[in-house]
Amino acid sequence: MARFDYPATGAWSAGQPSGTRKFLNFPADRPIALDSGKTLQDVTIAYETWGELNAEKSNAILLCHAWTGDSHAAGSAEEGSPTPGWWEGLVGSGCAIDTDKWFVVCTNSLGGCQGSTGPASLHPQDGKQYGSRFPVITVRDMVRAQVRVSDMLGIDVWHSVIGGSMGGMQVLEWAITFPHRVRTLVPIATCLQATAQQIAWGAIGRRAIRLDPKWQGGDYYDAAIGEGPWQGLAIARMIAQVTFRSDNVFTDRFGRELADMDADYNGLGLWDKFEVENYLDHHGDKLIRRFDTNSYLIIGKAMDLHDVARGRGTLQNAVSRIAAPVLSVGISSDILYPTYQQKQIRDMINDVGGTCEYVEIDSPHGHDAFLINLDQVGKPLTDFLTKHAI
Amino acid sequence: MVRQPGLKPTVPAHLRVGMWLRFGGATGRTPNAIPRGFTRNQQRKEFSNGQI
Repeated sequence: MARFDYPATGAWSAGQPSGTRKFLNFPADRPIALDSGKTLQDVTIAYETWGELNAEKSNAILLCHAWTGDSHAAGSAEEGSPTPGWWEGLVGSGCAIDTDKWFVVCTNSLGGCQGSTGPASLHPQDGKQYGSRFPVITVRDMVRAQVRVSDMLGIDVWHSVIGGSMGGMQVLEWAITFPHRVRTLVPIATCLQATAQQIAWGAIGRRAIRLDPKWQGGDYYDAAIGEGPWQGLAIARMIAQVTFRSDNVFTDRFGRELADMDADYNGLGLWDKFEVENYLDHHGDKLIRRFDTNSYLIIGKAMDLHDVARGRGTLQNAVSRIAAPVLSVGISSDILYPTYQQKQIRDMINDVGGTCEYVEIDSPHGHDAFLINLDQVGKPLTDFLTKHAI
Repeated sequence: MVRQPGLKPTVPAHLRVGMWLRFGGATGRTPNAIPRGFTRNQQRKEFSNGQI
């Protein structure tokens, strides 16, 4: 019997409850051409919607999720979606993104594992999981897939494209690659190009997964319960989780407290735990059950490859393509995407004649704040959307 | 349990539960051996949205 009951993958698969997901299947004769030079055929993108598209099709908003998010941006936990929406409370009737007014769409990104084509999906040629055969993709590739979704939904121009972290990278690629298809843009806690330190954190996580023998080079989908690459994924997630928070909030929440209060537990054993270790273990455990290790690698690599200047000469050249007004949002305590990066977005856009406002979320919660301090995210977002409403 | 008419508990129900837990609850362990409150531990672990 396996010591741990972790599945080989936490990916959603056909046959499981789909919850509120819907699916768009791209025509087989229209593969997606990727930045790597490879192509992906028979692509499926999972998505969810809230609100109604108006007759003019002018009230559509696209939400872009972060690394391990998915299309379930709003709504409660339900069968098929084990966690509440990642912006539950911000998106809905009467909320900052008011679904009485806006038609809101959120897609699971290409390379993801919650219904969109990714490494855990079945390869059209042999019906087995892509695994190690899944190509490296970029954030720009993810946006190309979203453009197909826009076309299939009949949306020529999004009133706004909004997202945080990796979602913010997608927002910037929308702004630069498809400037005529966006009316406003809200990149949150993100950057124009991944920095060396961001790549360094990603590389450590990748190494942890690669060193897990149960990863099997990416072809582990037939593994029995407990025999998948859960150790590597858990360690990668634990590392990332540290970068998502701040020194202050860790001290406030955990301090130096031990994880157990038994009388004979003094914490001096090598593997006796501090409370903060329990927190990291918990988040590693959670991710294993709801995510796919290869998706984690593929999407993480896409984030490291993020560079709006790639193929465009310079950052200035790239940013000069932005035509729509932008609201750049930073977080005061973000150690992963420090505020200088969101200020750089503002400064560069304004320097080349564009329009960009900057708002800072004052929070101790680090990078996670855009998913926690919804009041501070919501107010400027509502003001910005209202200001630029048609 | 049906309360007898005229008999009032001397300790409110929520405090009685607290006392029961404090003295070990179903585990019968001594107060020092009581693990931290489950709710607090869960809050500590969950304070991250977890969906980045």
